[in-house]
Amino acid sequence: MGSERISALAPLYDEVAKCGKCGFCQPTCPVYRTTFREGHVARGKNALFRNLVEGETVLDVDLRDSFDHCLLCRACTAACFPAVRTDQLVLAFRETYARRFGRPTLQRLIFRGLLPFPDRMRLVIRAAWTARRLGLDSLAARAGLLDMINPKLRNALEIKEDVPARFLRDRAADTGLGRPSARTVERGPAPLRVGYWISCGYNYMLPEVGEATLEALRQIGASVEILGNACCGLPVYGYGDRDGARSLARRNIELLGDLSRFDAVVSECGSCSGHLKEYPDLLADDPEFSVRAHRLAAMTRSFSEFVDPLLARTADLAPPPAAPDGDPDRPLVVTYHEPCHLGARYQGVVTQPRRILKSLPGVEYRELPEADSCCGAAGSFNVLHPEVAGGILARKMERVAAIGADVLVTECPACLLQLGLGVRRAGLPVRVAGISELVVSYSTGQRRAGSDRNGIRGGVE
Amino acid sequence: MIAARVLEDLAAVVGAHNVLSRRADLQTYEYDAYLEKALPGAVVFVDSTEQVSGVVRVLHRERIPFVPRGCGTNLSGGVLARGGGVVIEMARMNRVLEIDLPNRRMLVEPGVYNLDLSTALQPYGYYYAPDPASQKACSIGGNVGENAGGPHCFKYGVTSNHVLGLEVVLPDGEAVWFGGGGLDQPGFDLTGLLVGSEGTLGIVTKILLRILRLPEAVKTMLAVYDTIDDASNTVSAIVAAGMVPATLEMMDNAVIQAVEDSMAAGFPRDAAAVLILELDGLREGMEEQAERMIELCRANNVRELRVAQTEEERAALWKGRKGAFGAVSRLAPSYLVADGTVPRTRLPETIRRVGEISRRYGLPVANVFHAGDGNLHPLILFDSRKAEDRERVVAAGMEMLQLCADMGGTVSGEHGIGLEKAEAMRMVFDDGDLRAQEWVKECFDPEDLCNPGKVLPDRVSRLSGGRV
Repeated sequence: MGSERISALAPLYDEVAKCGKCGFCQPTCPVYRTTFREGHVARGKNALFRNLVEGETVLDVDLRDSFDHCLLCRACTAACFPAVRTDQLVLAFRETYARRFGRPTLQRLIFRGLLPFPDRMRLVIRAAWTARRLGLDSLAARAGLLDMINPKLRNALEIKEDVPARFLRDRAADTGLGRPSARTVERGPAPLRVGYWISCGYNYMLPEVGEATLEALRQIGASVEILGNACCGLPVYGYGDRDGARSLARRNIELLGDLSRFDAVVSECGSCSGHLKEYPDLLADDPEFSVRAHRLAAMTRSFSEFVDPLLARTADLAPPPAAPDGDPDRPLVVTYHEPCHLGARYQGVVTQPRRILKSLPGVEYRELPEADSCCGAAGSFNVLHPEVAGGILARKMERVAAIGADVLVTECPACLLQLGLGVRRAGLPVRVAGISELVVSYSTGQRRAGSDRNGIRGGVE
Repeated sequence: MIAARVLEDLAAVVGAHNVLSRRADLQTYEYDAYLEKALPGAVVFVDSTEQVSGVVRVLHRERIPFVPRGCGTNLSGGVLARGGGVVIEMARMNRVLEIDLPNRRMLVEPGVYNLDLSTALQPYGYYYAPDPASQKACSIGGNVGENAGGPHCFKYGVTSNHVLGLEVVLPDGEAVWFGGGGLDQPGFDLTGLLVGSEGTLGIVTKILLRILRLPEAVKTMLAVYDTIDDASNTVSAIVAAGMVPATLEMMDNAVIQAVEDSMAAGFPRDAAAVLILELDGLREGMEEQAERMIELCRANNVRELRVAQTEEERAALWKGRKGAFGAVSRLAPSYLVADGTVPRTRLPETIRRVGEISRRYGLPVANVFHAGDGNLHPLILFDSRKAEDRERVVAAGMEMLQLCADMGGTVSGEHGIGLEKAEAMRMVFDDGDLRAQEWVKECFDPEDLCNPGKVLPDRVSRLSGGRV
């Protein structure tokens, strides 16, 4: 049965054969820079993958460490002369491995029974959050219950210290944000009708950032409808469950319904917007959904990608000079962390967020060295490999500290949580903010982004 | 296989999580950037001189061979653990320990990336001169082991010209210092002996490096030629005129085509060769020197000259050169970089004959050279998945090395001998010469434990009674 399973990897033989083992992937791999393990860098994975195809090694549990230690950030491919797609090799390995040895029950339950169903997700996470607020989680941790489910869950508790009382979807319904509004402003030939893609990260963990996104879109004059989407499927895809990812893609396309009522589908989650743009690849051989996948991908915009041209060409929407608190003469020093799935290696959204930040009055923008290097969140990588993720994060924080930023901005909920953890651990006086939070706080005259919040993502004042 | 008892002793030195012995982990240390493989018996991560000493003492006691490894970018199989020895992984020893500007030197650990040396020095207006093409990914420890070169070594010399002193763990585990601050050290030049010894005499754990002021001015130009002879003659003329440019780099038509296909660097596709000429130094006199160099290019039938006027234009010219290997790597699944040196004047003839070898073996070749040093890098294209290709490419590479030797040159420029070229040493040394080198090895490493089977050919090792 072995050879039959591994033959699933054979189509990638040409890809892996391009690796000349030059080692240029090493200095750019955040995992390698932390562990210095050859098995954790692309070259080592390529070697093992090739050995598998050539029958020089067998598919067994010893190989997992190597292929588990991948952020899918694609930094290796960007540094690689023949551009070997090690991310694709890793995904193929994970899929093949799961087919052979099966998936953990919890994973299967979440992927197939929970993520496709927003209503179930809501109930389960509400129950979990309620337990957490009642302190049952630490009770459960002490009693060893958490360890019985999965010991890694303990790591998640540190990443998100408190949990929101209400989810973004409910809060938006209360405030009326996200209802199609009569305030729609005519811009160009058509009004801006936006479908707001609600990412799980903002919905369940950081609803206040989602509210800022909705508010910013409103201020720009867009008419916003909150979509009824489920999980985009990226986590499922990342675990090598391609079939699961395909069915989530199809499900979302159905949940979104007729796309002609929108000019754009916008998400402030770099991972969601990035993955939506990959739906056409995922559903390429699906006659029923391929066209709709293309349509959705073509109208998907990350928040900054969508907002940047509007801010640039509309003088009346430029945020007014803010009333500064503290020293009125000192500019607010802002820097930016580029999420992998948003930036150069996935969506290519590189200049837009930086241009937006530079355009804000009273802001001194400073480019973060290695801004595009992964922060270590990478979906659940930081939960599964907290020590490695912590090392990656520490390196990121050294750079943040060195350039003396007041605010560290990004455009991805996983990055926001991870960076928030980073400034807390490092004790840095740095605020971590979603890019829409900064745009909105300027529009409404609050100078310090997020300073009025009881900072889950904030640093030390 | 390394006995469990030994693995435990190693773990006692570095911690259990820093000793790898599972097959899957070992398979990620069975290669470097050369073609061959050798599965190590174990991999041990070290973080200090004391740990290196401790690990080496255990292995010496057990008579288990070992090899230091940094980033594994070696092109000649130098860091492969022949015979199932232990890989001592140095990559975590990557601290810059001291930057001493008044004395123009810096003290570093071997795992620091070459490029990071200059990055660390840049704010002070200094840099580290040798710049191998792999400088982003290779470590200074490996540079010392291989006596690495690079484009700027024509003017500034190779690694050995920039190493002032070394801390070395000898093959029995004792840590000693060679060299130091002064330019002329009393006693034998053991620093010079260690540089380029490819990890066969000991393991370098600290390196005292000479650093240089960044040049005040740089002038870069591209010269385009219709024949390789004209380009080569230009190089010879520049050197004969007593000029010392920072670089004299040449690329042939195959590389030009590949570069244009992959990045459109603006090289003329029909050119037989291009030269990248760079002057650096004081601002004063720079223009005159550039004029003179341009005259020499014209005297040798240059077709077109482009002088970079801005830093961006300079970067654009270098982009084509620095991306050359990458561009070529898209032409075939694999390539082997041959590394030989000939007297500059014999470059044109050598290139012609490299072309003949390429045609005879049916393996295409693209040429990049450090023309100023007469150092050739024919990139021989093949498919590493085909056993027959692998045999042919090794044979073709060997013929090219023989050619270099026949031309009055030698079998290496900067990539080391490793296991790739150990036998090729016979092309340039006779038994007596090799025996003298054996004595040095035996003196340092009588048990032949420290990176055995590298640099010196097998037969001489056997004659001397050493292990293979």
